[in-house]
Amino acid sequence: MLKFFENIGNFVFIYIAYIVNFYKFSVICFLNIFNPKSYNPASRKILIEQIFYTSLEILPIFIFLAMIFGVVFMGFVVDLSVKYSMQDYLSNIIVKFIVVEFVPFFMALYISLRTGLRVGIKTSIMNVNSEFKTLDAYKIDIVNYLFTPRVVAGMISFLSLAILFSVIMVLSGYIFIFFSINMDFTRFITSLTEVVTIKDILIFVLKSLFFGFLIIVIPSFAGVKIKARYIEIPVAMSKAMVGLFASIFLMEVISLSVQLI
Amino acid sequence: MIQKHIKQSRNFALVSESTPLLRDLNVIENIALILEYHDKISIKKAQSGVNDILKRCGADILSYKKVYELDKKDSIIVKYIRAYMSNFEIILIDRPFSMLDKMEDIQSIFELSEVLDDKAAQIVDLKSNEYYKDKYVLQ
Repeated sequence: MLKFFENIGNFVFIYIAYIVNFYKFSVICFLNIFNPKSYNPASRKILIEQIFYTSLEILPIFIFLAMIFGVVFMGFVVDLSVKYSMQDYLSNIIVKFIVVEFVPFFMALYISLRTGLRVGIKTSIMNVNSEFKTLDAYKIDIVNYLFTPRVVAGMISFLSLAILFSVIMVLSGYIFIFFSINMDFTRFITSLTEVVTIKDILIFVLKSLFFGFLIIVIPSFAGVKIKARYIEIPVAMSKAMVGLFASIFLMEVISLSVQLI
Repeated sequence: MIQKHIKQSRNFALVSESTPLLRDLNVIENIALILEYHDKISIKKAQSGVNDILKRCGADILSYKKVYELDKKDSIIVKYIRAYMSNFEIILIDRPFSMLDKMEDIQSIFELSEVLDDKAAQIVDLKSNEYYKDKYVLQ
C-alpha cells in the first residue's frame, strides 16, 4: 500500500518537474525570438529551411485540400443555412465559424502531424547522436541556433498557410453559394467584409501564431528530454503528439469561449 | 603549458568521438557553421573560406559529402579542420586511435597538423586521465 502511494507521489513529482521544465523551455524559446543573436547566418539558414519544409513543400497538396474542403464544407454550411432559413447569417457563420475557428484548428492538426512530428524526430536523433554535445563544445547555443529559428518559421508558416487556406476555402466555397442562392461575387465579398471585426482578426492571428509556436516547441522539448537511446524516440514522440493535440484542443476551447463573451 | 591553459578555461576545440559531426549537414556546412554562428560571416563567404582550407589540406574532395558517406579517417580529418576553424587556440585530439580503423591512418592527422601548424594540437586521453577528466570531458 505504501509502495502504491510512493509511486503516485513519484509520478506527480516527475510530472510537475516535466511541466515546469517545459514552461521554462517555452519561455526561453519565446524570449529568444526578440534576441538579435538568434538571427545569425547559421540560424537564418535553419529559418529558411524550416519555412520551406513547413509551408512551401506542402503547398500543392495543401491548395488541393483547401479547395476540396471549401466546396464540401462550405456547401454543407450553405445547405444547412438555406434549410433553416439562415441565409442572412451566412457571412457571420463563414467568418466566425469557418475562418476563425475551423481553419486554424484543422491546420493545427495537419501541420502537427507533418511538421511537429518531423521536428521532434529530428531533435531526438540529434540528441541521441550526441550532436548537442558538439554544439555545446563549440559554444553554439542550441536554442539560438536550432529552436528559435524553427519556432519563428513555424509561426510565420502557420499564419501564412492559415490565411491562404481561408482565402482558397472561401473562394472555392463561393461556387456552391453561387449555384444554391445565386449571390453575386461582389455582394458575397462585401457581406463578408462587413461582418469581420477587429476581435475576429485578433483571435485568428493570435491563435495561428500560438498554434505555430506549440507545434514546434512541444515536440522539440520532447526530443531534448530523450536520454540518448534510440529506443526512446517512438514513445517520446507519441507522448509529445498526445500532449500537442491536448494543447490544441485546449486552445480551441479558450478561443471558442472568447468568441462567446 | 597547454594543460595549465585547459585548467584555467575551456578554451580548446575537441576532436573526439563525443563531438560528432552534424548528420543533417554536409562537410563544408559542418565546418562553416562555427564561422556563421560566432563570426556572423555570410554562408557564401564562410563556405568559400572553408573550401580554401580544405584545398590546402588536400581534402577538398570531401567538401560536399554527407557525414554518413565519410569513413573514419575522413571523419577525423573533417573534425580536425572544424576544430582548426573555430576560435579556440588549442586543438585536443582525444584518443585518435579509437576513432580510426587502421593505425597507419594516424599519419594523415600528423600531416594535417603540419599543414595547419598555426594552432597547437595535442593528443590526449580524456577517458583515463582522471585529473583532467572533469575539466574537459563533456558530460
